[in-house]
Amino acid sequence: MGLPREAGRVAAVAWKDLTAERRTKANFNAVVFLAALILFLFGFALGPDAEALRAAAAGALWLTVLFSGVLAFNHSYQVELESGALEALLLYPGDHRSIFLGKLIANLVFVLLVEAIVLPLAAVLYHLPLLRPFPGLAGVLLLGTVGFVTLGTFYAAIASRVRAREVLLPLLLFPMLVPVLLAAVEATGALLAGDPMKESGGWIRLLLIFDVIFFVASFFAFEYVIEE
Amino acid sequence: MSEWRFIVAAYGLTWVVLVAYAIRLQVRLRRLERQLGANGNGAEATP
Amino acid sequence: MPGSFVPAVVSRRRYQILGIIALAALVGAELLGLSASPPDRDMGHLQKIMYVHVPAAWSAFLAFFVVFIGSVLYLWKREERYDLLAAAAAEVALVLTALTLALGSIWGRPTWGVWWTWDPRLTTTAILLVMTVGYLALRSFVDEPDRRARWSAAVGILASLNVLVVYKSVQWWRTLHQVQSSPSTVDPAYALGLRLNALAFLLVLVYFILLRYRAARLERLVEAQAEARELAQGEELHV
Repeated sequence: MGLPREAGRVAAVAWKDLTAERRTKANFNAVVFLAALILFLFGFALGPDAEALRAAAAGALWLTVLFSGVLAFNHSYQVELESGALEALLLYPGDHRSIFLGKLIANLVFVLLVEAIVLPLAAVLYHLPLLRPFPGLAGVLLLGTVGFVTLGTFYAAIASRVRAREVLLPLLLFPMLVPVLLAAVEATGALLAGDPMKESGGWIRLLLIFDVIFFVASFFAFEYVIEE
Repeated sequence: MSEWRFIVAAYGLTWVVLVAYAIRLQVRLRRLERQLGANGNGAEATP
Repeated sequence: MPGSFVPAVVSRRRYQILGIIALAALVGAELLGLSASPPDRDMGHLQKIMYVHVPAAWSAFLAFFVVFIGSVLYLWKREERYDLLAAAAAEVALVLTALTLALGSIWGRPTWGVWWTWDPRLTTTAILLVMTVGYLALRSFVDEPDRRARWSAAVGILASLNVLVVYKSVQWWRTLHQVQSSPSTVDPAYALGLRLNALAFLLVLVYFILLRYRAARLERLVEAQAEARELAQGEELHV
């Protein structure tokens, strides 16, 4: 009993979501194009000056991820709500929290794939050095995305079953993301600037702490949200 | 003295907000009590 | 009949008496604070704004604490009254937080020269305001009472947790950037006035939460009546 079986359930939920996503592809493509579009719009808003673009790049990059990623979360429950599959999923014996973990992993893969396309594009558009800070930058992206996706998966469980879900999800989610956004933008900005003050390490540690706090909180709160 | 403008604004705003909210709540309660009373037994509404 | 904190015999008139006492206390405390405080060395008479701004902020945070306690107790005991208490406190907290921010702006403009600064306390309060709007929006969008209570309790607890995290993170953000801290060490000459005004605001807070709680309970009763009527009509149709 216990852990191996739960791990299997988590993997099954994640695999199911990702397969569904891969079959349609329309959602993923739309999100990627939207992200690219937002990057362009930030470029226009910030002006063509290379220095100004580079200085604002970390913030623009993370806001792009937030605004495009938020579209994926509701979707991950909506498919099930429309087909009535969520009730079936809840009826299976075992811990409901494995649904949360499965969806979290699926959303994480989804957003990381979007980032894998967005990041090189941002590097081109905003004149960013990618290779030099790469290992650290990848770590920051991963940690920031884990925090973002954890909260996103949790709040979408609520928002996707509510009338005004398109408005409610960002309204609930974005204020919660302030600490993660702050730490992620600061760490990314420091790394892109070559980390002259050696401050990225502190922000990365903070990001890790935020991830743990929000993961534990939403992991335990999920039970109350998903039950019928 | 221009600093008094800000002091008057601060106290004025406080009173407007507090009194407006109190009135709003009272009106809301009155309406709810009427609604309950109209629906038959208003045992909860009128003590 | 679900349990309540306030017996049904407490009439609206008694609430009105409490309200009048609270507002009278506020008038008294303000007059005393205004007349007894000497002009501050740095801020001059502007210091007097403290007597409304700081108590408003304190009572707002107290209201948030009630939201947190109500949410935790609801998930623990599953009694509707805790949910209604949290909802009532959240709406009052929204009003007081908005007031606090506006007063802070009015105070900040002549003292700092700006309406807004990215100070940890200010920023956290603003985030708190947005989270409260989200909490109340969620409540208004969910019709099923049990669901609404569970979801908003979870959201309320996470938002309370987030307040601490936001405050800490903005603090680090600002210290790393080396900008001024906010001015607030209270001189003993102002302490009494501040305490009295805080007490008066506490009365106002209790009055608001009680009134709003009663409104929430009556709303649930109206809802229950409407459901019962629909049920009865449905049965008539079937017979």
